[in-house]
Amino acid sequence: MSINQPSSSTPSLSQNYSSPYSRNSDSNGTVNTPLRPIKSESGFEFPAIWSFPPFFTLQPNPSTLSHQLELWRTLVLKWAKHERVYEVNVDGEVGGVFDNKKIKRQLLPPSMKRLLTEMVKNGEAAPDPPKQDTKYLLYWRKPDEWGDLIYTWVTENGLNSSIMTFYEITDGDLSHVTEFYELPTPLLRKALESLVKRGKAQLLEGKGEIGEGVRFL
Amino acid sequence: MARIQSNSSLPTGLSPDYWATWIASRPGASVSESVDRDVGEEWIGGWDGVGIYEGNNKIPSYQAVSVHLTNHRFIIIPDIPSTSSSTSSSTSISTPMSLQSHLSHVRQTEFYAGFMRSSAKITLSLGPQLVSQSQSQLQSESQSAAPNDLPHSDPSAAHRGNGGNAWTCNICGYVNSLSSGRSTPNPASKCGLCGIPYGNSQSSFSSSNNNSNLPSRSSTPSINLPSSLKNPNPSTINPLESDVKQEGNDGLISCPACTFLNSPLLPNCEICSTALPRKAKPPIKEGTTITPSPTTGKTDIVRLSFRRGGEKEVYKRLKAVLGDKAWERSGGVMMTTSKQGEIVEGLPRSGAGIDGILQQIDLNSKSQSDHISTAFADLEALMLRAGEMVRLAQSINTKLTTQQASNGIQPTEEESTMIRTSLVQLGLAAPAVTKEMIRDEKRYHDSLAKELGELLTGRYGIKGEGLMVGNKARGVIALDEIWGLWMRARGVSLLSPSTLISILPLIPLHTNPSINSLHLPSSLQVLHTPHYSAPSILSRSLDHLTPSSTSSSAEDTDETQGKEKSFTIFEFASIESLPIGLAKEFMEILEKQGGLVKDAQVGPSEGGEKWYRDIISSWPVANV
Repeated sequence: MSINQPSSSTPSLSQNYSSPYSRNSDSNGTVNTPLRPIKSESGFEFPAIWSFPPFFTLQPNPSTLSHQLELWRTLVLKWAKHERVYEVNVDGEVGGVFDNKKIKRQLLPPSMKRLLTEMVKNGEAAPDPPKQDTKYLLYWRKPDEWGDLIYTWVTENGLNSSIMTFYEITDGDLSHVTEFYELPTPLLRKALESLVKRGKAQLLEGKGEIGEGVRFL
Repeated sequence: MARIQSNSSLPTGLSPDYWATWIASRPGASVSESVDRDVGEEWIGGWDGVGIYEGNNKIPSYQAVSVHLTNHRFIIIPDIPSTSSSTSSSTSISTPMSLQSHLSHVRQTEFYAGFMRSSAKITLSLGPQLVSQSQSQLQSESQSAAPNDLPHSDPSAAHRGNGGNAWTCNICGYVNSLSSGRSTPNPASKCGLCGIPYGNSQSSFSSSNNNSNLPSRSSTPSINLPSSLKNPNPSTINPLESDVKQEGNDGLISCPACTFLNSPLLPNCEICSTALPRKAKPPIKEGTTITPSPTTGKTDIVRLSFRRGGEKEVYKRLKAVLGDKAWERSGGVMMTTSKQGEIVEGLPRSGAGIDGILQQIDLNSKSQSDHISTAFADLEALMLRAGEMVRLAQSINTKLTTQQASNGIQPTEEESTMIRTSLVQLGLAAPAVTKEMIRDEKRYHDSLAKELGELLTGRYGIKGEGLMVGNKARGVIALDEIWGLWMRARGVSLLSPSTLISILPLIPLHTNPSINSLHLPSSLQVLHTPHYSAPSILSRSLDHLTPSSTSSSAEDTDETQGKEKSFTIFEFASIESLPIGLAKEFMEILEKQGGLVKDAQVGPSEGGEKWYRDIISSWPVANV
């Protein structure tokens, strides 16, 4: 007999409804489970819950579902930041966190859409281009944060008042070591737009092949 | 002829063959004296210079007479012979007596206008008119005659029995003669034709029953000569010839409707039941000694030869009087007897032949329908009473309600409930839902729930006997099955499923362990024991799925190592000993209630889905 098994011979409503959550957790908050965390090749450690097959099925119980989505949001952002994933395409080959090849479970497109919708609500993702539900930008950093990062970098490198192209920012020689290296242009634009709103930058229309530019103020 | 002598004395010289219906009047009495005004008799007229024939023969002593006609009688008064003309006739027959005959005896009249030296004549065919009269006379006569004449084969008596009083077989209509000396048929005597005994239904039948028709038929010949001569009915032209003619064919009577030649004994045609003309029948007269021979037709005919004219007026008056039949109206003996004659006439005809059988059937069906209608009248009366009873009960009910509403003397609740219960048992719908009725209904439902509870959990608390408690019991039974089993157990006064549904909330109160109802997601409703309540199932399932922390390292094989426990729907059904369908329903409930989580990406070989304990809800976000 398990120690956390209640006296099932005399069931009562209150006992049964309160017990499921408490008895799966130890006093320190960790769940007593045989599941073990998995470390990916890239060094990302997937939590043990990632190996729990029902984790890939949206649960019918609403409270369970909301907690499940919260876990997923957290996991996706954490993974995307670690793997520097900026964009996801629901219909495409998602892989990564959405596909546990070991237990052969994946978050199916409907479930992914539901998850991304939830993330959009929380400002953690945005459809790009807007008004569609297959391609999303993942905001493991919000555009404001990206803008701040870029502006700090510009200031530190004395590039104030100079004009830079988008390419120079994300792929230039100076930006190799920055976090925003190879930042997707849509995300870069949103970051710069946030700077423009704050009066720290000015967007210049691109002329021909040169492309768009930005002048930091 | 003893009988004739016993009858009213006829004047000598008159043959009783012809004068049987005539009565001698008191000599010397005037007509006006003899008219009996008490019975409405009125003198109509008198004519003299008349000669009398009996048949075709002149009566010598009645060749100068006066005839008087009243509306009841026909009177013949011989003229008082004058001294000068007193001849041999007056001497030989000193003074002829006056004669009178009641007009009801007149069966037929003829008018002969005269030709050359032959005077105009009126012919009267006379016969006994009334059956009962003749019967009573017969009885008295036979009584008087019996001592003397019974042993004798008196032809008169024999004929009387034959013609004057006979009985008609009710079956075949054959007219049977009575044995001599009997006025009524022996009940044991059988019909000569079909052998059916004379029964109560038989009515004495006299062949004279058609006499009442005859006076009216006598009006057929018209007054004037040519038309009477041209009259197509030969019997009315010359009675002598016609009688011979009609009976010439062995006495058979031709039916006027179908011309079938019937036996003269039959009152109706054998084929079509039409009444046969009776004229050809040998005249039935009391006291006649006629043998059934072709010559019998002459016997009752009296002719009046009007030698001084006036015959037309006489005939006109006579016909008027005969048609009027004042004697029938006048009351008294004559009227009643004539009525009796009619009755006697009606019965035998109705009882004879095919017609009679058909009428018998009609009578039978009529009486049957009468019986049925009376029976149903009783039933309708009962229904009316039932309606009254219902109204009474309803009024009692309303009185009860009002009495309880008011603060008057209130009957105890038990009493009122008892009354209302009996009303409900009578099938009376509650007029309106009152609080009392709800209480009563609740009590009814309570008892039903108790009954069902006994069925489910065992009677009187004996364990292991019910449907859901015991060795072979099932913990979950669908409601339709419950209803079927319950109704089978009840056997009588079955309940509607809605009643079962309405008592569902009451069942847990009457069961131990309490049986509850549950709406499954498919809207199937089941009853289940506490063992199968959702929390119990969830608890057991979680026990099953939670890894035992103490023995995990020892028991878990490589396969199960590092995995959460799970079960498919089949495993779940087998664990809970539920049918797959019910197991799915229950699992759906558990999913929605939480506690178990579903993995929908299982291969089809494993049922497509698996369930795990819910570690998602309790997984800390920080632990991701």
